[in-house]
Amino acid sequence: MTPEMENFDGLRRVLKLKRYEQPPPGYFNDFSSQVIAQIKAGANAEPEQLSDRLSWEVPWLGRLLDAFQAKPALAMGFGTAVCALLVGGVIYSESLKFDPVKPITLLPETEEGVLLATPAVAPPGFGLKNPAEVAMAATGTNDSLNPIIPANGSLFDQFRINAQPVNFQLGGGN
Amino acid sequence: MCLKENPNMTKQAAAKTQTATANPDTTTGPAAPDVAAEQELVRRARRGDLEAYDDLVRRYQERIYATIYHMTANHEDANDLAQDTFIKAYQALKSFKGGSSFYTWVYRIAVNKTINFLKQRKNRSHMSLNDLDFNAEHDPDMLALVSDKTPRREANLNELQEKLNEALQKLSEPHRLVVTLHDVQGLAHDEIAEIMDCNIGTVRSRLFYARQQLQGYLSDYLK
Repeated sequence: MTPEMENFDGLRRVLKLKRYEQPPPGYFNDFSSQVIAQIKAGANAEPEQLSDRLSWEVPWLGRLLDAFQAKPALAMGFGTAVCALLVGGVIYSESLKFDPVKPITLLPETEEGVLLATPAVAPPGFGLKNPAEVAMAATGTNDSLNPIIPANGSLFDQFRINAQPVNFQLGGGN
Repeated sequence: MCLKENPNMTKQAAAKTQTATANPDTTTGPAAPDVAAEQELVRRARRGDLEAYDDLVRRYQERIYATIYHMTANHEDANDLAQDTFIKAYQALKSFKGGSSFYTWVYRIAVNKTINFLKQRKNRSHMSLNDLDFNAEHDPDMLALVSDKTPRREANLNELQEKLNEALQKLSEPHRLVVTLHDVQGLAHDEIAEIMDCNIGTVRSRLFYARQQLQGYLSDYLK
């Protein structure tokens, strides 16, 4: 006999009384037919609530939602923590922002006095202050095959349409 | 509610009640040969076969009703919740993946629905207890409880039934549920853990605490 049975033997005997509590006679005879009738009638056809379904499909999430319902302060704390995490993430990502004009590492000067960079063949204008100016100087063009963005301009400047005001005058109109 | 003889109870039903009472462990899940039959019923029910679902309801209606009844101590609430449980289970049958048995799955739906209901009901509870089965009069344990020593001498089984239900209602829902499933319905610890989605250690500790609480509430009847 285990200690728990020794200690609670009397209680277990009293609890046995619960097993004698029975529903009214014949109650179960038509229980299932009532259930089936309700299913057929669609008496409970309203869409299943997400919280209901979560409670048995994902019990831990159901418990979390219950806890939030019971203690709004807990929900507020959770919301604050999520916001803080989000803001922290944004600030952190800002601090790691890539610097586009970061100088490339150059190898030491060779005997011939030529600077070697990696990659060996750098794209035209790479590493210069204003690549647009250099490229324009090299090609002398600014066409669609060589789309160079002006240093101070917008990406959409090349598509800018010059609008002119139009004045329609309708003669003899009423 | 009074202790009365149930004239409509057949000998077979009475024998069944007596067997279940004598050995509560018989109320555990379906036996191995039944598992295949149950799976077939579930497959058919998922395809919309209501006859198959009717069979499933008949298999578990008594256990589901009893669990809810012992939790709510109210027949009308238990009736509504039990019916609602089986209706919801049918509607959600397509999402039943078979990770656990249908029996455990339905139990889980019933338990969650009952706990949600009790949380909403809170202080509006009133007991509507079922009558005691006439076999209770002949149970030696029950006779011993009401025939010797004060205050038990004066108390009859109905009074004890009421006190017991009041004491159970004082427990928190998880503690009441563990006592109901283990001490009243005879489920094993691991089955309760699966139904309640917690580990066996939690079930054991809750059971111990709940029994301690009940022992305190019912100390007059346990002397």
